[in-house]
Amino acid sequence: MAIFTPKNWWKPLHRGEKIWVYVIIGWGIIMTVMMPLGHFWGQNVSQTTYKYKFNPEKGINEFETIFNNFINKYAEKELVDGKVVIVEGKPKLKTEGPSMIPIVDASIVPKSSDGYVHLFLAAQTYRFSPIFKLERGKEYKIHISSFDVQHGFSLQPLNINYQALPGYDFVITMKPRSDEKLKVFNIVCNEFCGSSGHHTMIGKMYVK
Amino acid sequence: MNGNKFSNQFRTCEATGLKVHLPAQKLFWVNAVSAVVFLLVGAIMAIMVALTRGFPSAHIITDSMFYQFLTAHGTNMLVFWIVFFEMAGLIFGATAILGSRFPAIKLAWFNWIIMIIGAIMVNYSIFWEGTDVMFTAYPPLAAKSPFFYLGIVLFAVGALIYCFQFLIALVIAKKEGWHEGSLPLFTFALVTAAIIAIFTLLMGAITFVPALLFSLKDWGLDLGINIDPAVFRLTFWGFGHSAQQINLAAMVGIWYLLGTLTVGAQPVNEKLSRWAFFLYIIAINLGSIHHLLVDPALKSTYKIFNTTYLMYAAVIGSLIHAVSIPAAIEVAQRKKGYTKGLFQWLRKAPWSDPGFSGLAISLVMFGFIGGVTGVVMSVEQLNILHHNNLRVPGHFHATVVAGTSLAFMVVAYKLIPLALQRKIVSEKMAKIQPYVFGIGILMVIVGMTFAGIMGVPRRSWDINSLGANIFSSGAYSMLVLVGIGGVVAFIGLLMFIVNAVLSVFFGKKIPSKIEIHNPPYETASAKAVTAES
Amino acid sequence: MSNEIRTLGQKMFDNIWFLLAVGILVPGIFYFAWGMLEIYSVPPLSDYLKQIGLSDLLTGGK
Repeated sequence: MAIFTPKNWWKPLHRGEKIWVYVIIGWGIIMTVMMPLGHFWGQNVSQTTYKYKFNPEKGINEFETIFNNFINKYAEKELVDGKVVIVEGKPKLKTEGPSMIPIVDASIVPKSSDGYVHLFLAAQTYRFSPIFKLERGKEYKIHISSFDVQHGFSLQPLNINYQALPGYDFVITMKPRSDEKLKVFNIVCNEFCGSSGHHTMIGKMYVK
Repeated sequence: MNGNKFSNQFRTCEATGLKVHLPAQKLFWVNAVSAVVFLLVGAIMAIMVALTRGFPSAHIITDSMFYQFLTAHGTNMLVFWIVFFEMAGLIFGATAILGSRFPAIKLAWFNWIIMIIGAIMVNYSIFWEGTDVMFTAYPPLAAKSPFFYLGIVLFAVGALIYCFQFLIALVIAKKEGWHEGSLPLFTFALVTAAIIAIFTLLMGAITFVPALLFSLKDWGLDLGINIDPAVFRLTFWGFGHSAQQINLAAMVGIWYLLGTLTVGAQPVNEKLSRWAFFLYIIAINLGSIHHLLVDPALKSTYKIFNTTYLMYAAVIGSLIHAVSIPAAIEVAQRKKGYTKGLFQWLRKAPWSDPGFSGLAISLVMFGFIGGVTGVVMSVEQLNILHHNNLRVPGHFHATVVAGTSLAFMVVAYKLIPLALQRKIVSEKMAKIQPYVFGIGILMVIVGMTFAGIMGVPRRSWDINSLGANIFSSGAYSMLVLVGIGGVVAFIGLLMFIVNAVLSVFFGKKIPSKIEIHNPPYETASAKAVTAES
Repeated sequence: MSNEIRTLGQKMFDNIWFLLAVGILVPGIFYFAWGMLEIYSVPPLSDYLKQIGLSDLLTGGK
């Protein structure tokens, strides 16, 4: 009994038990092998990570510098009568939504020397910036990181989820499929980041 | 706390013939009662959270309250309810099952005290200081005060010492001759749980001690420590998921125990069952990686190696138990004469015995829903679709709630008379409670799983705040199912808590004689015990 | 002591300190130590950006 002391219990298995053990070990091996097979047969998760200096108390955030330079270069500018508006020495950016998120049309971003267009997406409390306009069938390397606390990157309605960590740049290779019919995608934050705004934290991606 | 004076006082349980060490029984009592107190706190938090998520526009509680209550729900249920109950189980497994004494009674009481202080500190930090960082408390997000981290560290230290005390109790049982030969399977399951717990708590120390030192800034002590978010996640889940595997090992042990107590089942093959526990010991803690499958910094080879639990070794262990336990029950039932057809043994099983119905519901829901969804979510590519959706709580409410918590609750119905000598106040309520709770939690699980598949994030107060038309109407219907199921499950929980508390304090006492037993062998430790009595 | 024949397997499973050692070492190495190694070998972003010709993003103020 489970509560009494067994004696001489190292006994061979019955035939039924043996068959079950062989079946489950075989199934375990099949499931194990399927993972690297899937990985090498094109279902890999296509991401790499780089780290950067992040020390908010000392005012150090390498990613923020990179991101701000990226936005200054490629974000859409607000035009009045066809002219760019300058506010405090910087061009005024076109923004969208109550969180005033800038927009970047990825087709104006040139390819880097590795042949990819590199885009930078920042998760901040409480928004994802910028809003990208992507093209169907084109592959992009999107650098995802956070300015402050951990955030979740959840692309809806595809339900693609990644974790955005400050101090780590998560580079994910993404391609809007050529047969993708949807034009608007939402980015939802699914990692708790603050009681006043985590449930409002949203971003967008447009596919042309 | 004059435990030493009664160190060799025992009583014999009339139902099982087991000898129970009286000081150990007192420790068992206090840990079990503590567990149910925190279960009640967690349950009240659960219903508030379920109703808020089920009916988000109703704003039943404010956003800051929601996140605090969710933090409280997680910590009180996953840590305090379950671990206090497991400590009670360890004490029971080392003493009553082996007929042995529990050593260092004063130390055991000290452990309990620091665990209680820790649990109270964490709840204070949440309710009075507004900590809302969730049970996971991922940095750079920080709790409002060091009490959160200090409470967890104290709790973990007490539990860790208990685990070592348990292992030493087994050694003493052998040395002093209380018990000879191999450990009974139930106690062996608890050894598995204790070993997993020691790994868990060591990881917990590595996680929370630096976090505690970092948080001392709030009290004016800046030690210049920086917590790396990726390292915290790695070590936290080494603690957090491995803690769930403690629950798994304890639950499986309790399944075997319930099989014995309800139908007199014997393990069909002790070697096979013990191999399954051994596979848990070596492999199961590797599965913690499945929380980090879409994290930066970790590469695919590492993720794949660990997430297969070492090539599904631990899953193989579970599949062995999944067959061994029903097989043991079938053999026992057939011995009783229920041999007609293929399933008479099952139909004629004691379904009105909450010990049996709880065992069945727990086993089926844990195995088919919880275990399967867990293994599926542990695939690197599939996890991209699951990470941080409501599907994840759907999975773990099938494992730790429908599985472990229900098994703990129905074994309590057995242990309150056996170990605490009190009759259950309402057998009628106990009969239907597993079914009520099972149906409620099944609705919660189904609702959460499908809402998550439709993209609903976890840990979100009101998904309408994101804007209109982000999620389908089906997702909202699934959330309503979570709300309704939450109410039913809450009723099921209350049925247990009220019954258990009334029984422990006001149930009819089952008397037994107190006997003095001295350790069979003369050893130094044994001499110290008899000298003090 | 009883006249029980204890096989090597029985003795191995009866030895709780052996089980504890295995239970700590195996996950300690494969989950914890290997994981820490992975985290500490993440390459720096500035080198990567210089490599692909985006070093102009690294300079400049906020």
